Amino acid sequence: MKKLIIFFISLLCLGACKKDLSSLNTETKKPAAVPAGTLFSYATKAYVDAITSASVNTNVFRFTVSHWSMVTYQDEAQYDFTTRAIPQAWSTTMYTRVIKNLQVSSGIINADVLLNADVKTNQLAMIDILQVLAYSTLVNTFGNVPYSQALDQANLFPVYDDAKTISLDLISRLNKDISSLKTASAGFSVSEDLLYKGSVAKWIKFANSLRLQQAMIIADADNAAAKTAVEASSADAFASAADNASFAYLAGAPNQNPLFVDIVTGGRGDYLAAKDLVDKLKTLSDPRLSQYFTTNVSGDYVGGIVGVVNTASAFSKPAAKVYAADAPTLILDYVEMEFYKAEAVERGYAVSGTAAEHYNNAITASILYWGGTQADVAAYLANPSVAYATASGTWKEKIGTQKWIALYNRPYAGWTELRRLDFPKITAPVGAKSGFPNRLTYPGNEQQLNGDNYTAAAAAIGGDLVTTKLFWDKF
Amino acid sequence: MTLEGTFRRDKSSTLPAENAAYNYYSIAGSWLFSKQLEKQFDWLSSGKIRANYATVGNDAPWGSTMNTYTTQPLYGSTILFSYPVTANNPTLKPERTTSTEVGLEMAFLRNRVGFDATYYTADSKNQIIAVSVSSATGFTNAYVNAGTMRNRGVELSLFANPVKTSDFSWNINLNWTKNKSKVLELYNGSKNLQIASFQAGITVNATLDQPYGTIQGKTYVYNDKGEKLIGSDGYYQITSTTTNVLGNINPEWMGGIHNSFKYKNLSLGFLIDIRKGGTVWSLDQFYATYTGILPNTVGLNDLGNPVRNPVTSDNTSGGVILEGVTADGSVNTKRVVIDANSPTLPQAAFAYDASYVKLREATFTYSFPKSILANLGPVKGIDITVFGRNLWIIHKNLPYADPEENLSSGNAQGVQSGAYPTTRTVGLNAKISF
Repeated sequence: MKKLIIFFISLLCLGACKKDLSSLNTETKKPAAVPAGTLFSYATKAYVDAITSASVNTNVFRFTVSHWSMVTYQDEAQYDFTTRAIPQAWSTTMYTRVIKNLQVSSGIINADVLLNADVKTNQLAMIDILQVLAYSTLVNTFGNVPYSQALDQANLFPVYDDAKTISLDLISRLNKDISSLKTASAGFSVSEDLLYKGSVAKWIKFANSLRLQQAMIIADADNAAAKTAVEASSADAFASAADNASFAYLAGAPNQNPLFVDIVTGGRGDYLAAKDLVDKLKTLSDPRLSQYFTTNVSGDYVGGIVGVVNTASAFSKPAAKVYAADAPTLILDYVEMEFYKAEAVERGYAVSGTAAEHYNNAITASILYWGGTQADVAAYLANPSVAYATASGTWKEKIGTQKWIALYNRPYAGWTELRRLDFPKITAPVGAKSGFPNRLTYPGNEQQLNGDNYTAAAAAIGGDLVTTKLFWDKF
Repeated sequence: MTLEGTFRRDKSSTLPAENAAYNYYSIAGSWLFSKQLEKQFDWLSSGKIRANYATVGNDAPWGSTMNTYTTQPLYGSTILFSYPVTANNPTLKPERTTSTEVGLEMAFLRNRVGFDATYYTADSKNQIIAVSVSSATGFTNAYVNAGTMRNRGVELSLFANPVKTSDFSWNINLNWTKNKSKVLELYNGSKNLQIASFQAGITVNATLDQPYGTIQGKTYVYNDKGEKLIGSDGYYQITSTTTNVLGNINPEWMGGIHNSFKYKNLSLGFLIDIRKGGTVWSLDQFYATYTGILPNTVGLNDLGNPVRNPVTSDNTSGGVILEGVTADGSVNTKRVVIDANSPTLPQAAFAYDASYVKLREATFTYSFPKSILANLGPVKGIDITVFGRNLWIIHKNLPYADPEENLSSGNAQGVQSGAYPTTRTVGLNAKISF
């Protein structure tokens, strides 16, 4: 009897052993394959979230361009980007949340043998355009960045590529994308394409506009390349505000504007108007003043000083429409295109129209976008301090000043233009930890995680400092 | 003499099928040599030598071999998915730890004095860690077989019973341990593995050819003579590199002394714990210094004026002259404001020696004499004990906090943030036995 029991028990044990155990390690709650469009949509939103946010942990450029000031916590306003590891958050978002998802998405599309070839081409081009957008953000933030060896799980130590080489490659990628987009076929579906609801024609305009922008950014460093790309793009760039690359946030959670989540849901009352912008708007009697900001408790428009503790009630705050739950975010817009064209005329590029016409178009579109009227526009353009012929300074100062005003709530774009045009002159924050930041330092953890390549890149760009100028920043 | 060995084979479902099986071996032996010697040396009470060798394997955490997608909240009716930020790895191998240990235990003079000494080495290989990686890889972490680390150390304990009479006895126990670790090899030719990162840009790392657990961050800029450089603004120059080693989380050695005295029905025992060396980095000190909430941020300067007074050019000036030299090597004489808006000190300024000497525990016991117990029927013993733990930090080098407090109890040691005070426990204990 005893022997029999032992026999059966050991038989039971054998039955419990499986030859192949690996199925126990298979994730059953998460998909191993998804449609490419879901990743494309996610990457679009991730990029827009990053450029919209005002979190002191990720996006603090509103202080850098002196549009906003802070009530209590001044570290980031004083150009301290490292305590809260802002470069790391910025870079991680671009690489992991945006570009990686786009890369995986294009891999899925390439492997899809059933997809119509023209649709496939359109979708791949759209993905590439967003990749160019995100890479341009990285390269124009840091300088040299990992590019040719990036996004490879097998290479944990990607080298940094030369910034100018990357910028030129991004422009040539846009050339290719523009020529491969065909309006006769569909791209991503209406619901997958969060920017243009499936309109391939709009994507062509977006790609041209992005190429115009990226070309103008390098104009001081490579005039010939910039001229060629600007001239190729200017006719097909955004022709009106209806073409804007605008992302619509939704009124309901969890797709509300990050500013709403921060200021309203999170109850943060930290953000105030900054003195530089409020003073400028007041001096020019700018109709956008009341659209951008509220009044203080005494009913006046007053900007706080960047870098010092400001009493919240004494200063203007961002207007409610800026941080409404469904406030849209602009990635790139018609206003910018007109400013770029004004600049292109001044640089002697073959672009239709005069600098003054484009300058007026840009200001008009900006005032209307923010809720002003045609009468506001007419009065404003009649102001001798605004009118292109009579406004003070060089074309860089005229365009720079108005662009700085128009790029309100576009902190990253505003910072890039400020670095490039060098106007207006921003009042340095009180207690500034450095000179004006011409770039962000590399993510702090690159020194630990990719040390040799980091060291080489830091040396190549002339030192890993916020004051090091990027290759296109010649003045 | 004893000798034993074991063998075991495991197959784990969390590893890739081709690497799923791994073996354990061990062999251990000991020799009670005093048996042979006790006749010749009557002062030798016991003596034993032991040695063992073992290899141990370990598998991967569940679900770390295949990448899957993460569901994101819907945008309207649009479905969103994202690729994971931790890269799983289909080529993981099992972890192996190989350890060797030799030990000697001896006791003398009828067990009045003795010691136990151990020397060990342990090599851990192919440790499976989701290491932090450059985000340019498209991931923030990646599962890898992270490397090889060696630990070598000594453990010593000594006991003595110096006094033993019918009324009074004194026992003393001493222990001392020292461990040295070294990172021998890291994944994919890496030179540094970041174990953890903290606010203010502090990281704890396993750096190739260094002991495990280096604390890295920004530090002062020094000249050739090792003097701190002061910039033209009168403040310290700070490195832009964050890879400067500010210290190591591990102590040089740890020790403990336990004394117990017994006199008739009273007994008294106390334990003193000692830690020598190692570093603790304090985020509390970092913030408290620059926000000015610590007592050491006020006081008088070299002119006898409060440091928080405005800096002026005459002898009524507040502010401080930071100790250091300017670029030309001359001693700094520039008086500067120190407040929340002035440049912060480099992280290196907040790395402290984590040594301490502590009265960890004390007990005082009164045992009821037999004469009283005799009247209490079945009760065989009553002991009343007053005890206390964490009674006194006799010595430490970290201001305002206990150097033993840590943000984390896992791998990421050596950093304090919002350190709680250590709790002191004092209690009364009655033990009645039947």
